[in-house]
Amino acid sequence: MRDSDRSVRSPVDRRRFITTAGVAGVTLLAGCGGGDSDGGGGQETTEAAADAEPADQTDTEAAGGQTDTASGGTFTLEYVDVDGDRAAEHFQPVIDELNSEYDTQISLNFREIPYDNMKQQLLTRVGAGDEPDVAAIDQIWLGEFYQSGKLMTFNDVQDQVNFDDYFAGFQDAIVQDDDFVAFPITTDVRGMYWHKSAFEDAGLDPDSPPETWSAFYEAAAQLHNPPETYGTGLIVAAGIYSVPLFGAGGQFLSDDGSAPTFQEEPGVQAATVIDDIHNNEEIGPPEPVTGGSGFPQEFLNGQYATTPVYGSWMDFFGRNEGFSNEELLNQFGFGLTPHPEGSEPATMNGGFGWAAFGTTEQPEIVKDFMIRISDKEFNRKIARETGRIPTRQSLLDADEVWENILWEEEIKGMLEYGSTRPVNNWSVVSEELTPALQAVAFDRQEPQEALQQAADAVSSQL
Amino acid sequence: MSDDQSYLSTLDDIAGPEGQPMSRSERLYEAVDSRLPYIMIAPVFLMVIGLILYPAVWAFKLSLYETQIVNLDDQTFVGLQHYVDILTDPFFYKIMKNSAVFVGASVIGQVAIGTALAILLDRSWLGDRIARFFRASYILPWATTAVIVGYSWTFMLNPRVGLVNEFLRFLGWANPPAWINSLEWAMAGVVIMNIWRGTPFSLIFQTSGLQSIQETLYEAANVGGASTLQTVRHVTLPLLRPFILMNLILVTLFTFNVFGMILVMTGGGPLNATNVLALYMYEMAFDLGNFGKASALAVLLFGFNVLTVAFYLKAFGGIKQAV
Amino acid sequence: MSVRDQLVRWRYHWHNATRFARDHPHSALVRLSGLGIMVFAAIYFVLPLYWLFSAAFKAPRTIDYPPSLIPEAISFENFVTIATETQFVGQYMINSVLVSTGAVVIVLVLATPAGYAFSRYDIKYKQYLMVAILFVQMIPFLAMIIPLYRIFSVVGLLDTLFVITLLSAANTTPVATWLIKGYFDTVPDGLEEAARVGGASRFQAFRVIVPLAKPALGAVALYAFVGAWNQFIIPLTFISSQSKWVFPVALYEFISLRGVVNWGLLGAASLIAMLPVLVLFVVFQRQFVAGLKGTEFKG
Repeated sequence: MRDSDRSVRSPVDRRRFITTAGVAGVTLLAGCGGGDSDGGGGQETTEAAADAEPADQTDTEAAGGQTDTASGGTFTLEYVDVDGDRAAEHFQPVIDELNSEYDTQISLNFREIPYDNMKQQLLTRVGAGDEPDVAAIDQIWLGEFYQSGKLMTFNDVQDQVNFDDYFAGFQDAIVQDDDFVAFPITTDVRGMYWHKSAFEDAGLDPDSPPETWSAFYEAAAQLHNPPETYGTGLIVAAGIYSVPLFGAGGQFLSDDGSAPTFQEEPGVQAATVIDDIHNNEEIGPPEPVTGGSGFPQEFLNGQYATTPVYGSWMDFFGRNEGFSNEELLNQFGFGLTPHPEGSEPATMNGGFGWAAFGTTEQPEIVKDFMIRISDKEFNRKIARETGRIPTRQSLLDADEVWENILWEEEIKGMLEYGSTRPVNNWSVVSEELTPALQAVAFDRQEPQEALQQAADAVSSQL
Repeated sequence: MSDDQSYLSTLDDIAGPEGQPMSRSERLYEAVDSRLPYIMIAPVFLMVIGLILYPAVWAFKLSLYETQIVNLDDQTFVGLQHYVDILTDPFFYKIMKNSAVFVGASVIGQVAIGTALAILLDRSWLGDRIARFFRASYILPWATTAVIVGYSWTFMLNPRVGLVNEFLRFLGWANPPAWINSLEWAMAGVVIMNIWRGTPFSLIFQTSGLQSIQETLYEAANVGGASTLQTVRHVTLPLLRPFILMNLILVTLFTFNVFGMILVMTGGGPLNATNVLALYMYEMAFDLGNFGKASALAVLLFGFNVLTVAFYLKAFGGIKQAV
Repeated sequence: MSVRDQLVRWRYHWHNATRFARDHPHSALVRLSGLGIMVFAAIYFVLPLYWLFSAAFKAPRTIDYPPSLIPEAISFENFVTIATETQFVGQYMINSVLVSTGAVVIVLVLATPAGYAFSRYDIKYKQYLMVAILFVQMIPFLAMIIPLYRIFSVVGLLDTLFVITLLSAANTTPVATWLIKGYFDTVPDGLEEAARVGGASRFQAFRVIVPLAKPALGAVALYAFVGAWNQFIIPLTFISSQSKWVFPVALYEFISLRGVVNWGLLGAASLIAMLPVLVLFVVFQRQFVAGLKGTEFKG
């Protein structure tokens, strides 16, 4: 259409009109279809949720090897994981094993999703009825996904996967309404980190950290040297609050999960810790930390002498900031969060579970895949290669698994005291509790009042 | 011919190719040509309708039902219950207040800064090369992805070591605000980030507006002895009115739906100080999983957009000002 | 130009400026404050990116804290890592370019005639139709994401670059239509009238005028390109194979390990991801600003 001839009379132009329209259309298609080379290959829309009760297919005893699969054909197993931990190479050998067992040509579509977007992505796909076959799901989301009725259950193979070998805290997390819906992959613990050099400078012993809250306040006051270094700092959020809560003997919800209990005495005691740090003892930063993303870097760079509750993945940040493992061990201590006088210490276990969706077109193969990856040897391999804490008690003594895990002894000790959050209703609890705790930290409300309000809001939604 | 009101179409009949009878394809061509205006706008509407009509109707329908995102087939009709719940919840008004501040400050900031910079860069008093350099530097934020913006600004606004506070201390402000950690300043921090990201669009939009002002008007003002500021006030700004109106509308629509950068920067905190309607909707849908209520929030958000546009059109003297 | 020439030039400019300040002190003050505002704005807009990019040129894992603005030693190691260990310079770039170019083509093909028609012809309910196409921008995308996913799942288009191209184009088409309409409003219709008097059809008249709108089309193309280039949620949701990733999705790789940000790699990757857009800015700016001036039509 470039020519700017003004002799627009000739009838040729009319033909050219048609041509131009055609060209435009083709360009349109070419332009957008350009990248579409190998078309919607991987995506089969789920057949029907009708054959979705794979739990009842109990012929998997013998690893499913002998059962003849419906046809030769091909099957792409779509596996979705949070990015940065595991890689396709870890799973390819399992796929190879499956290929030798089944007639079907099986391939792996390994997909990583950023943690911050993971829940939204999975929910979108479940909502749209296009679930992946297998997904790593944070234990705190498991309850919601279970409600979809689409998760595969593993009650029938409990013995085969040696369910009882998992840490007690995690056994609770993966069972929903008596249904065994996921295998724990790795776990983590929450504890206290401190700068050893800051302890030395303040005349404290870097190898014997404070064990009770009152000792902690005392130490933090000595370490408090604003604005260069604050005595302590922690992210004010429901997840972090769980450790003081468990330490005070409290729980988020009643045993049957029907009513909030965090507003009771132990909960108030735990919220008072947050109040004390920010408003009474004044050993923390002038503005409470409410967003998590900058916090570990700030801690590693010496802004806070201690942080009483943080996840056991601080070393990942450390290496990212240029610390070697030796430097991390020499400069930082990690141990149990302080607890109230006269009570047991506590920690909180987090972590992912492997779940499968029953809507898959090949439930039998998927279940076989799940059994294979829940195997102790596979767990050993994953833990070793990713440097994450294994979830099987029988791996506690396997030295090679712990090679890449710093503060090994401390973490093993902490695993004894682990509990988990209420995985069925965590979103509701967290959504209401976090602002309440922030109101306490910003001194807008007293602990009792703030927690009661949050509890009322939670009750109305349970 | 169906639309003879067009002053151009009357000429068609004279122009039949040298009086010969028209062939069938030529007649077809004529028929197409006479309806060309509608044919020209049809594809845009097809696209708009095709891609939003079904989703929009679907979302509206869901807003009348109680349903969870994990199981959207399980729906219970609740009528206007979600709307009643939302509109009687004091929390919603807190969110609305935040949204009003966020959208208001962002829109005013973006349009004002964009317009001011466009005027400063216009009419090459600086020399083309310098103007081009400045313009390029102002457009840069536009080329970035929202998530990266969120993470970078979190670091920029860090109370202790962020560049913003380093700069403020350098200017002599001993105790600069804690920005995203502070109840009072968090919203300001989020707005600063959003203005940073959104202003390039306004700058480009207003630059195109300035190009439409005829040189003779400036010459007349100059001959009449008007100073630079007077010219801007009495010539440039009045003539930019339609562009400013359009810019306000577009930026408002964009800003109402911003949530990703806020999610990364503050997650809506501290104490919900930066929680806006779009973010609240996101949390309702993808965190709490209550898709019925989230749909109701989406419908309300749409309603506020329409109301704001209507308000602008009224304030600027009717729809004709923009179209 | 030699340094000497440069100095002479600067002296000449300085001379002019001081004379101007002497003769027109008021104007000089206005201009000086204008310049001040522009410099301040430049710092505001450039500094965050400068900081990000300077991290890219530091040795890996040495992002000092607080960050220094000037790297002590320039290192290209981050870029080497990006180039050799990821597909930033390769598949992702190809995908991003394909998607963005495709979106530009769709937007131009749809919006140009529509903008023209809205500008030139009497269309029934024109004003309402114009506002109506903005509805796309009014409905929160998140509310539509599940139904859209269902549609594309039924049509079998999930996990194709076509979907993100189409949705990105749909996102920018309304504003593009408005921009083009606004531009045609400023172009006098003399040329088309002449063509029509000469016997041209409407379509032919449109063809005559389109080349004159090149600058506006350039601006719209840039707008559509950048819009598609920066899409994040759309490709993240609708693409599942890594071979079809586009830049914004791939960039997240350097952030997401529980929020750990590898600033060096992120900076380097962001710079690579921004380069094509920067090149377009430079290439287009002359055409697009001078063009928007539309000098031919003034007076």
